[in-house]
Amino acid sequence: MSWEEILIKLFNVELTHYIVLSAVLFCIGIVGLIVCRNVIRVLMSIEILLSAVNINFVAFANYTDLGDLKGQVFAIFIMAVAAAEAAIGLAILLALYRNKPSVDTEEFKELRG
Amino acid sequence: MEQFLEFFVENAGAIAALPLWAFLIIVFGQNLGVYDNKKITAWITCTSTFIGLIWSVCILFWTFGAEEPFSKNITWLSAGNIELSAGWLIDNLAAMMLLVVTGVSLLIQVYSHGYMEKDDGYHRFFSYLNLFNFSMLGLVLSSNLFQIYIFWELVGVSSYLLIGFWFRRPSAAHAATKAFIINRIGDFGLLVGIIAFLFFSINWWAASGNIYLGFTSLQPAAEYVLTAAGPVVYCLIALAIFCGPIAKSAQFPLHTWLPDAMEGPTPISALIHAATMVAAGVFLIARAYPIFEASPCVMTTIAWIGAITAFITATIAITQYDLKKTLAYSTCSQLGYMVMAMGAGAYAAGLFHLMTHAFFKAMLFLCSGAVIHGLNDQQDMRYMGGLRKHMPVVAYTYLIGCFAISGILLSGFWSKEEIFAGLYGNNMTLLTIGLIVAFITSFYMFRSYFLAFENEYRGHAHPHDAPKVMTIPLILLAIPSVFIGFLLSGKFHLPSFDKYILSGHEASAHAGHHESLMLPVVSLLIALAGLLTAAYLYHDRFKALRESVKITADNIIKTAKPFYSLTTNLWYIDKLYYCFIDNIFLPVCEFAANFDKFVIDGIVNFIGVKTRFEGWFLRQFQTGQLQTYLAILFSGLVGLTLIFVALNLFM
Repeated sequence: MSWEEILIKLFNVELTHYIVLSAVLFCIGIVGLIVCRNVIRVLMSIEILLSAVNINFVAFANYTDLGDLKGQVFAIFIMAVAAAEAAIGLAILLALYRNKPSVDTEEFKELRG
Repeated sequence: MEQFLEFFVENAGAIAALPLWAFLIIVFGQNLGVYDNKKITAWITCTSTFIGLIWSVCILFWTFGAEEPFSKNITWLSAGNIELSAGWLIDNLAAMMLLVVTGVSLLIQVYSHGYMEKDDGYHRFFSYLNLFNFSMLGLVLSSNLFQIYIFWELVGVSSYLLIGFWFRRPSAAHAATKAFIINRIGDFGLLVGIIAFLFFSINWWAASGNIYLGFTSLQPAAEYVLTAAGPVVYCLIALAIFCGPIAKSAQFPLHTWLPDAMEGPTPISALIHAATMVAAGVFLIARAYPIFEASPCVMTTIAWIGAITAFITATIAITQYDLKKTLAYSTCSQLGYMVMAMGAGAYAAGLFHLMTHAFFKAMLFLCSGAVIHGLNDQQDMRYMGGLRKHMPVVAYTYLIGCFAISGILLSGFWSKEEIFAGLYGNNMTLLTIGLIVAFITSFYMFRSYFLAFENEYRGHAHPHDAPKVMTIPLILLAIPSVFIGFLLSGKFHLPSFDKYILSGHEASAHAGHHESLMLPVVSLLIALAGLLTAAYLYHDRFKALRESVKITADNIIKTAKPFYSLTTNLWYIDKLYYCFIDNIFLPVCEFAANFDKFVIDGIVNFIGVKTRFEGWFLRQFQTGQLQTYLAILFSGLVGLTLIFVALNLFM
C-alpha cells in the first residue's frame, strides 16, 4: 500500500480538497490585494496567490498526470520566479521608501502616467 | 542714323526700367539713411523721366521710317502647352503713348517738386511717382495681353498708394480703398476675359508660333476664337475684357471712384487720374481692338457705355462746387468721348482725343493745384473769384485749358471734331449725345473759370501766386494744348495723326471720312453757346442784365429742381451702390459669417467637445490606484465566470 492510499484512507483527501484549498488561498490573496494599502502586505498577498496556483499545479499533476512531471516542474519554476519577483519588489520598495517614508500605495502616485 | 535709332528701339525696356531704378534708389536710399536731401530725390526722378523722354522721342523718329512694328520677347513662363512671354512691342501707338506719358510725367514731376516741397512724405511721394511711371510705361510697352494685365495691376496699386497718400485723412484712405475695390471688379473681368480668350485660342497660338496673346497677331486669333466659341460666348469674353477699361477709365457703372480719387495730391490727380492712367483703359481698347472689332454687339455696347458716361458725368459736373471734382467729372466725360469714339469705330479719333486731352487736362489740374496751393487748401469755388489778378499765369493757362477742352479752336476742337466726324455717318443718336455733351462741357468749364478767376474775391485766405517751378510746367503744357490739335489734324497739308496711328491697321482704317465744314462749325457754335451761357450766368458783367430778365442760376435751380437734385446727388449711383451694399451685400456677408461662425465652427467645436467629454469619462477609471484596477479586473473575471457557469447550467 502506497503512502497515497494510506493518506486517502486516513483523511479521505481527494483532488477536490486540494482545489478548494487553492481557491480559498486565491481568494484570500485577492482580498488582500484589493483591501490592503500596505505594500508589504500586497507583496505577501501576491505570494499567497502564487502559492494557490502552485498547489493547483501540483495537485493536478499528482492526480491526473502521474507519469509525467510537468506540473511539478511548473511549480518549481513559479517558485523561482516568485522568489525573483519578491526580491525585485522588495528592492523597489526599499528605493521608494528612501524617497518617501511610507509604505502606503496611495502615496506613490507620481509614477502614474 | 538708322542704326542709331535702332539702338533705342531695341533697348526700349530701359524706359520702363529707369523709373524702377529710381524707385528702388529712393526707397533704399531713404530708408537706409544714405541721403536726406529732397533735391537729390527730385533730380533722380526727373533725370530718369527726362532720359525716358529723349528715348521716346528717338523711338518716335524711328517709327516714322519703320514699316514693321518692332517686338522683342523673352519666354517668361511655360507650363504645358502654354508659353507666356514678356517683352516690348514698339509700334506707332506705343511710341505716341510713350511720348505722352514721359512728357506729361516730366512736367508734373517738376511741378510736384514745388507742390510737395513742404510735405513730410516728399520722398515717399516721389518713390510712388516712380513706381507709377514704371508700371505705366511697362503697360504701354507690353507686347501681349498677359503682360499688360500685370502692369495693369501695378498701375492700380500705385494709383491706390497715391490716392491714399495722405492716409491719416479718413476720407483719403476711404477714397483709396474705394478706387482699389472698384478697380478690382474691372480687373477681375479683364483677367477672366483674357483667360477665356486664351482658353479658346490656345491651339491657334501653339500652331501659329506667335508669342501667346501677342498684340500683333490678335486679329487672326480673335477670328479663330469667334468661330471656336460661337458669337454669344465670344461677345461675353469681349465684354469681360472690356470690364477692365470700364473700371480703369472710369466708365459708367464703375466711374464713381475717379471723383473720389481727387483726395490724392493734385499733381497725382493731374498725372494719374487725368492724363495717363485713366487713359490706359482707352489704350487697352486700342490694343485689343481686333478682339472688340470682331463682334458688332460689343462695339455697340462700348460706344453706348462711352456715351452714357459722357452725358451723366457732364451733367454732374455742372453742379459741382469743388474745383477738382468738376475737373474729375469732366475727365470722366472726356474719357466717355474716347470710349464712344472707339466703340463707334473712330479708332484714331479716340486716340487723338486721348493725346490732346492728356495735355490740356493735365494742365487744368495743375492750374487747380496752383489755385489750391495759393489759397491754402481751399477747393470750394464759392470761396474763390477774382483770382486772375492774383495769379495771372495760372488764370490764363486755365483759360487756355477751358478753350481746349470745350473745343473752341484749340487742340480739343480738332480731336473732338474728328470724333464727331467719325460718328456722323455711323450713328446719329450718338452724335447728338456727343454734341449735347460738348455744350455741357463748355458750360461747366467756363462756369468753373468764371467762378474761380473772374468777379470779386469771395474767400478769406490771402491768395498768393504760384512759384516758378509750378508755373513753368503750366506754360510748357499750354503750348501743346494750344497747337497740337491743329498741327496733327492732317488738314492744310499738315502731318496727320490719323495716318500715323492707322498705318499697319489697314483693316480698321475708317472709311469715308466726313469732310465738310458743317460739322466743325456746328460744334464750334455749340461750344460758344456753352461759353456764353456760362458767362451770362456767372460773370458779374451781366449782373444787371440777369436781374432785369430775372433768369439767374438760382432761378434755374428752382425751376429745374428734380434735375438739380439728380445731378447734385450724382445721379444716385453712389447711393445705389451703398444701398446695394447695405441692404443686400452686407446681409449676405453677415449670413455667411454667421453660418461660418455657428454652423461650421459649431460642428468643429462639437467634435472637440465630444472628444474632451469622452476623455473625461475614461479618465475617471484611471485613478492610479492599484486596488481599484484589481477590483475591476477580478469582478470582471468573477462576472464572466458566473456567466459561463450559468450558461453551462441552463443551456
